[in-house]
Amino acid sequence: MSVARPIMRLARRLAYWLRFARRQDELREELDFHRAMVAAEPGSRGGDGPVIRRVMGNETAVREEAHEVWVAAGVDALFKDCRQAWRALRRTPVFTAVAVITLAIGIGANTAIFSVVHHLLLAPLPFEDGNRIVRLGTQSASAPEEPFNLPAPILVRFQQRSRTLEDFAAARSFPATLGDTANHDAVPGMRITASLLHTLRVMPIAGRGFTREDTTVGAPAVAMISYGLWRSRFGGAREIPGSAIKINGVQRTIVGVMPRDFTVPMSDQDAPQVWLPLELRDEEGAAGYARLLPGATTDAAKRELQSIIAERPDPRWSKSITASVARAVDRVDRRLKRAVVIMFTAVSGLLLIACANIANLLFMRGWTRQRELAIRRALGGGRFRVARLLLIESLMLAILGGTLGLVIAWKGLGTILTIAPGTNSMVGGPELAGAGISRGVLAWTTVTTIVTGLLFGVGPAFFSTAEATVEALRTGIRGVVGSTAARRLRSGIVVTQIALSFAFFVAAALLVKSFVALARFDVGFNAHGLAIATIKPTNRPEDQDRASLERAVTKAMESAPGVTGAAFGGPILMTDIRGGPFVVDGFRGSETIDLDMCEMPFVSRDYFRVMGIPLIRGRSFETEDDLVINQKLAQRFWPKGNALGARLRVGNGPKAKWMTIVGIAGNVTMRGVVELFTMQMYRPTSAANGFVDLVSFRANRGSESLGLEIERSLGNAGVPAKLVSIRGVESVLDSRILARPRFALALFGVFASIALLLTAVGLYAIVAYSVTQRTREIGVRVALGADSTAIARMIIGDGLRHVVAGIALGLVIAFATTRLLTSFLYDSNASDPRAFVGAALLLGIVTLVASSIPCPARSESRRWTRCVRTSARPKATRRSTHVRASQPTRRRAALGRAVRLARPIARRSRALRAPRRPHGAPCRRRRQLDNQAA
Amino acid sequence: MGRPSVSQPRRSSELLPGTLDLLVLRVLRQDTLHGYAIAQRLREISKDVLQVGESSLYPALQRLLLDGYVRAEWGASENNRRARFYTLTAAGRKQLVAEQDEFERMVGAIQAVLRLA
Repeated sequence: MSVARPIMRLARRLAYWLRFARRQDELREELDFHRAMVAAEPGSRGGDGPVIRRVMGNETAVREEAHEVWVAAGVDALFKDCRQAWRALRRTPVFTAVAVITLAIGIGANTAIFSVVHHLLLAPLPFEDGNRIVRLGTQSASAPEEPFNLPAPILVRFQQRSRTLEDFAAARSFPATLGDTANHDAVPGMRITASLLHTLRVMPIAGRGFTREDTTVGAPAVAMISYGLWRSRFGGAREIPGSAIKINGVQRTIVGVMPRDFTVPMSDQDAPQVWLPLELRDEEGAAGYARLLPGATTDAAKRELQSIIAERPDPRWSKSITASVARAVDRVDRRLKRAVVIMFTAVSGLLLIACANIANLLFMRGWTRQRELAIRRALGGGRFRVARLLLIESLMLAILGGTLGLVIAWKGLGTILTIAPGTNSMVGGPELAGAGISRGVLAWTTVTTIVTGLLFGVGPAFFSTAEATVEALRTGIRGVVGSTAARRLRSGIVVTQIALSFAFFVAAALLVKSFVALARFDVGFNAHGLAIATIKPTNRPEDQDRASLERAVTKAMESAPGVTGAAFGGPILMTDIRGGPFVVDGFRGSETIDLDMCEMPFVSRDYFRVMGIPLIRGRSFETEDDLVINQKLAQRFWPKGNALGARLRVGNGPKAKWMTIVGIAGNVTMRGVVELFTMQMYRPTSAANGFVDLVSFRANRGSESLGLEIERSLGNAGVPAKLVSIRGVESVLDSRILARPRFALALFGVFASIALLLTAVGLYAIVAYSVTQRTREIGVRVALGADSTAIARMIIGDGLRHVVAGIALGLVIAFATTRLLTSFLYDSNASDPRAFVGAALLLGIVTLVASSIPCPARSESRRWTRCVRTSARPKATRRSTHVRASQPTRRRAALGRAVRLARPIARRSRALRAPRRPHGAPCRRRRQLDNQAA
Repeated sequence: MGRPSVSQPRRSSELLPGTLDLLVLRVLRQDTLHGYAIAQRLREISKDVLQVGESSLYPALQRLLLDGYVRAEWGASENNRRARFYTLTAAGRKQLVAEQDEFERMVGAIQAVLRLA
């Protein structure tokens, strides 16, 4: 009844408001009727004369007053409650600050990650009619998730004949260098066909897009720039179209500026800064883009594309490479999706921990406010009403925390987006650009805030008001607040908290281990001081001049100050050389082998020396028919170790010729970059079709900043080639291999630390709470001679029970959740027992320390007994360093006093030193029943 | 629920606070009546002493609706007009008993004071 009535009232109130207009009409009609009846009374003059007005009063006023019955009580009381709650929070600034900050962190993290979830998984594509946009490419059976480019001729044929797609376009990314070589900026760039912006239905925000004329031979060199570049480099000036910009050494005219946050969907690269026109006339590949015709499906388009690919099979292609047509809406690859889900799970867990913490604090707060609450009830506040006040306080805390959390999310998201590593990262990449606090995110945060407030507020509000009775006020005895149910709830909260923290710790430990393993990982070459230069010959060299040009370039580069060695060719992460079919002489009757993930770079003779790749057996190239393979490939086909001297032919074309294996090199493995490429086959540059434009070089000082020196030394030697760009291998390795785990580790490290802090505070709170509650009991025990060690054991034991239960539950949670991490871990098992044991130990120590803080010190014995007498709570329970032996006399006196005082309580407290009821004697309840019977 | 209701009828100064609700409940005990009929009935029974205007009657009825003591239904009045009829609910019946007891206790106490003090 006491609970049901207010709820029914609330329901009726809601019903009133839901049918507000109808209720108003009803009231008006009712009053009209009344008025008509009064007018028809004998003695009244009829009509609406002054008499009626006197009897009836002002009709509007009556209606308002009747209406106010439904409003005033609720709104007015709510407003008053809010003021009360605000004052109560202001009275305890420390508590309020702690709670608000805790919540702000929880809600802030949640909002930040949710905005990513919203942007990636929930929000529609930022393109008009975006779910018709598809990306065309190829995929390999061994890496179905990684789309590759489509050769231009296939794309052109597809465009001519497709009956499922329209609005074809293509894009291809390239590394761009802005400005002069001496003072350059390396930025991502992209070549796009003139049709791309139309396909995506995007308009430049300034100037124009590319036209077909821009792609014709001999047309003026033009470029478009990104919004970011426009702002940072040109200050966002309107008259930018027409300005000049030097990209990869070519002076170009800027014709347009792309819209803000514009990226090509499903691109494999960071958001491009410069855009150049692309004409599909070469053999090179590009990512195709098109729109599905109404009624067409991606499967139909894929079949079409597959048949076009199959029509004229490319001999260099592996058979396992098939057509790929993916809708841009499904742009987020599974890996990123999973990462986002993990992050979101993590922040939700964090918020839950924060909630648990505040719930515990509120329980303590409810306990310290028993007197106030009891007075409120004594003055006529019903339990529901007082509980409502407490709940409003909770909601107010939640709203404060949510607001601050929004600010944190807004600031934090910016940080996350800037430090998040690029493509294919755990969280990050071009897909992330543009994530922000949108309206949907705001709605989410609002709901989260309110749900959070209720989550941590309901329990304490319900239980704190239970025992705050007039009775309690009169006797001054603080009952053990709450029933067993309340105690169980509080314990449950702490146990959950510990369990969640435990899961965080395991996750963090696994990530640390994985990160250390990755950092120590041997890529197979010496990256120190290594850099890759892109060299472009001024004229296309004839085949016979290539060798001499290569020699000249190498010599000139080696003569540059600081450079210790240079060789043609570059490691896989810099190049995009795909494998193809090859034939091993004598292997299963010389069948063609499809190893589409075998790296086959063209390198010069000194490449192994410069890169620091050991030649395990044999030697480097001498002639153009020589071949060096890596150990992995050697073991695959020559397990007996007789690879040297064996023959191998790449491809089936007329130009394919047999090559002899002269050396076996060490494996180059780049975990986290191109995990698929573990086999390598090095061919001499002389066997390549054209000029190999990559030069690996090592320098004994900042190899990345040697651009000017190298350019000068090329010029001095009169080499007919230009330096286009330089990229440091170390930094590329770092950003490609370590950035993602480092980022994940940093995030989880922060989460785990916050979780630990919150859990320690939570456990401290619950132990301290139980100590204050058991003040009398402990005082009696002390007075009866229990020494402080025993008391401490009792108190810490209490904490320990929670820790053990929490870790037990945490094991289950961690086992279930760390599985999600498996694909992000390198060289470590998601259920690594060391991570679990370590997490348990750390958590155990921290929580034990936290629960030992509230233990009373020995010297405080007297205070405890005094507390029993005055029924005050001890002010501070900090452990004193000064330990004084208590004097026997004092002790006896204290004992006498305590026993006198404790008699009423002694009956209630368990396990006192009082003699137990003799076996067989009737218990108290039995005696009562007997008395009643008598 | 002994706590005072938040919005008391302001204009029934001639009645003890809260009494109007009790009287309305009592009048509705036997019959289902519309607002005007309730006022009429009160006037008749009190021999014109209690003249309840709509300014206090209708807020009181809304209050009783909110508390769930009465239920309202539209029906035809004696002169065949659409009117809103009020019926006592089970909770209202219980409330009537409680309030009546309380009132009688109160009146007895006041009378005792007036007689003996």
